[in-house]
Amino acid sequence: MKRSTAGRSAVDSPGATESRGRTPTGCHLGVLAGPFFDGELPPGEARSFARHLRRCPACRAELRAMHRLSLLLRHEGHPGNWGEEPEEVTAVEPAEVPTARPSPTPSARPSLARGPALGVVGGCME
Amino acid sequence: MEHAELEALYVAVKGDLMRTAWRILADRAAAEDVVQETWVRALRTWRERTDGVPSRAWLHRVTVNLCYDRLRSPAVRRETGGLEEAVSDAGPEAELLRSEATAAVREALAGLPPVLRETVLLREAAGLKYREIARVMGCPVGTVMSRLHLARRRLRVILAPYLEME
Repeated sequence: MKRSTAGRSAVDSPGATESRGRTPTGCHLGVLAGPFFDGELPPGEARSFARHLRRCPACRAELRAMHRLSLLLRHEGHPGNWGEEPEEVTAVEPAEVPTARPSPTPSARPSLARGPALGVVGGCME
Repeated sequence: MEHAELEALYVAVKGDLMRTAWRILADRAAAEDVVQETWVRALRTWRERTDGVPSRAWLHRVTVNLCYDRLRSPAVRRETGGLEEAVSDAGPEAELLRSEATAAVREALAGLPPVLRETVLLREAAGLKYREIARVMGCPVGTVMSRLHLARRRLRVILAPYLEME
């Protein structure tokens, strides 16, 4: 199986990334938040990580912090004006909708900005 | 590369370079100076065939480094605004907060080792892909990833008071 730099198995087999260390928010898969945010994960890995995000408040917090840091560094956002989440982040929104009751309209989709409580059903491990 | 090709490249990326420079300097006039200086350096490099062949990534790297040199200069002007990103806020309190955050970002960047600072600015300000950063910095993509990860972690610790504020 061909492996990329971030490695699909990193998402599918959490133990594989232990050596990389944990992120400030606690989940060892949080190291993939950077490449995911930057749009640098291969499509398969990005989908796997997006699935992981549905269950992992630590990684969602990681992604949100990355978004804010990016805005600060580009002078495009600051406390009180963080704006909307970027496309890379909002792309995971549909996965956060509870499957039993789909949203009637796209505008009804939950946002990461609403906090980690939405759709969280477990810990950070697959 | 012919002169016409270099000129076409510069014309094609000039807007991106301006955006990159503004993102770092938050000063339109200073950003214009830096982009102009980038072009001068590109011409000199092209003529003298030194320091590689100017490419999009090369131009961004020169722009980022010139911006940072300028930020370290005591004569740096602190005017801001001019580009569409410079959205004005409602009141003086928000403006003060923005100004404090901008100063904190500069200080945080200044505290990073140069190699981490350049990596994070090439990604965040210039918007280069990992592969392009690796090419221009002469290192593997994995090194870019680890440097970026490290730089962001350090910046997040330093800038935590702002990042956690709503």
